[in-house]
Amino acid sequence: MDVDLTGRVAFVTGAAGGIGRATAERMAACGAAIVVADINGDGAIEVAGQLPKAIAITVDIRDSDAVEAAVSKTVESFGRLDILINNAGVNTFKDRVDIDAFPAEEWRRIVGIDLDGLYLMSKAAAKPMIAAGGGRIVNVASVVGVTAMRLQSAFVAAKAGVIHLTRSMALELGPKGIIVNSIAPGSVMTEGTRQLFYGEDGSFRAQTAAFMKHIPLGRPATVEEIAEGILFLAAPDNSYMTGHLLMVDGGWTAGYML
Amino acid sequence: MKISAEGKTALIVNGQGKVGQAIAAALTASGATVVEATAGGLDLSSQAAATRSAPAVADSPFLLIHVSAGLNSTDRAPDGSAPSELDRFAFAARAFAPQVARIVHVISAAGVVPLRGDAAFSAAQAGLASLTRALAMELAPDVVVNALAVGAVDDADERLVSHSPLKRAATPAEIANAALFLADPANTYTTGHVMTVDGGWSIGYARDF
Ligand SMILES: NC(=O)c1ccc[n+]([C@@H]2O[C@H](COP(=O)([O-])OP(=O)(O)OC[C@H]3O[C@@H](n4cnc5c(N)ncnc54)[C@H](O)[C@@H]3O)[C@@H](O)[C@H]2O)c1
Repeated sequence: MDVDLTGRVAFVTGAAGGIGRATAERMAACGAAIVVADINGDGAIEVAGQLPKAIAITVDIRDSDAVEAAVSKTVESFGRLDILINNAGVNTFKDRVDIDAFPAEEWRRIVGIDLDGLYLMSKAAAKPMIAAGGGRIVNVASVVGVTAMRLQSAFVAAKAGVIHLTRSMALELGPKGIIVNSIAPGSVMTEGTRQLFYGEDGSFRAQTAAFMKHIPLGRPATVEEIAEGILFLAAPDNSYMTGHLLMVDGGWTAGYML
Repeated sequence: MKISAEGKTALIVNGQGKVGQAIAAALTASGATVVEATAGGLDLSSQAAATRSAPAVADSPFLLIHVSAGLNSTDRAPDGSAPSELDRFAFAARAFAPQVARIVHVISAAGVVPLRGDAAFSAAQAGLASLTRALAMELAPDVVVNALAVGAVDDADERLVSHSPLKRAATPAEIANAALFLADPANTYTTGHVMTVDGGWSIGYARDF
C-alpha cells in the first residue's frame, strides 16, 4: 500500500515494543515524523534513533500530567500532531486465573493502562487535532475484545472497552474532522506472545498448535501485517471509515473452525 | 492511494455501478488489468456451470471483486423473494478460488444494520456478510475472503447518512480506497472480515435524537 504521510506527525504509544515499533517504522517509511512514546525510555530512544525524523518521549500513559506534557512536547518539536496510535498495552502473564481468583491489583494495572491510559492519551491528543481541524486516531484493541477468552478477564474487558470507546469517540470527533478507528490483532509474533504461546526454541507449544487450528490462516501474524492495517486506518486516504473495528486476525473471529 | 498490482488481473462481477467503476479505476491506476468476469461468459446458474466457465475468463487473475447487484439498483427484491444472489456469490467464489489469492464482496451496510422498510434487502445483505465469513474459513489458507459494507455513496439514500457522524455520503473514490486495502497483495492476514465504510453510520447515535 502506497500512502503519503509527508509533513504529518504521528504519535505512537508503546513504540518501543513489537507492534508499535513496526508501526513507527512503516509510517516513517511513508514520510511521517514520529513520536516514539513509551514507558521504556531506553527502548524509545533506540527506536527513534533508527528513524529518519523522530523524537523519543518517556511517558507512562497512566499519568495525565506526563501525557499532557508529551503532547505539548510533540507540538513544540514538530508544530502539529496529525495521528495518534494508541498502541501501548499489557496483558497478564503471571495471573492466568478465573475471575473468582483474579487479583484486584492486576485488574487495576491492566485496565489502568489498556483503557484508562488510552482515554488520557486520546483526550490530550484530540486537542491539537481539533484546533487543526482534523486528524486520525487508531486504537489497538484485540480479538479478545470481540471473542472472549478464558483466564484474562481484565484484558478481555479492557479491550472490549477500547472497541466501544472507539465508537463513542468517532461519534463525538467525526464532526470535528477526526476519524477514529480500532484494530483487532489476532495472535501476533512478538516477544510477549513468544513467552506465552511459544516454547524457548520459538516453535509452538502443544497448546498453541491446538489453538492455531482455530485460526483459518493457521499461523500468528507478523508485526508488519498489523502495522499495515494501522497504516490504512491512519492514512489520509481513509476518509470515510470511522468507528470501525478492523480485524487483522487471520480469520480467527470469522467463525469456529472446529 | 495505490497498491502494487502491476501486471496482475482483477476480475469484477457486476462492476458497472459507480462503486464498481471506482474500484476498477483504482485498481487500474495501481497497474492491474480489470476484466468484467461475466464478459468472458461466466455462468453463475449453478456451481457446476460456474466452475466450468470460470477458467476461460482470464489468465492468472489474482483478485475477484463481486459487487452485489442490489448496490447498483434501487429496484430491490420485494419481501418474500429468494435472495438468490447468495448462491451466485458462493458459486463465483468457489469457481475462482483455485486461481485467485483474494476475494472482495462489495455489499451494503444494510447487511450490518438493517434499513427500515427494506427488510428483504437488508437480510439478503446480512446473508452475504455471513457467506463471506463462512467462505473465509472454507477457502483458507489459500484465499483471503472479505467484504466491504458500503454506506451512503454520492446522492444515495438519506437513511444511510442519517446517523453518520461525518454527516455526508462517501465519494465512490473513498470506497475504492478501502477496497484497495482488502485487495492489496500486502493484506495477508485480514480474512473473513466485513469492513464497514459508512462514515460511522452503523456504530451508534450520532444525533441529538
Ligand atoms: N502481541 C499480540 O499477540 C497482540 C494481540 C492482540 C493485541 N495486542 C495489542 O497490541 C498492542 C501492542 O502489543 P505488543 O504485542 O507489541 O506488545 P509489547 O509488549 O511488545 O509492546 C507494548 C509496549 O507498550 C509499552 N507500555 C506498557 N505500559 C506502558 C505505559 N503505561 N505507558 C507507556 N507505554 C507502555 C511497553 O513498554 C512496550 O514497549 C497492545 O495494546 C496489545 O494489547 C497484541
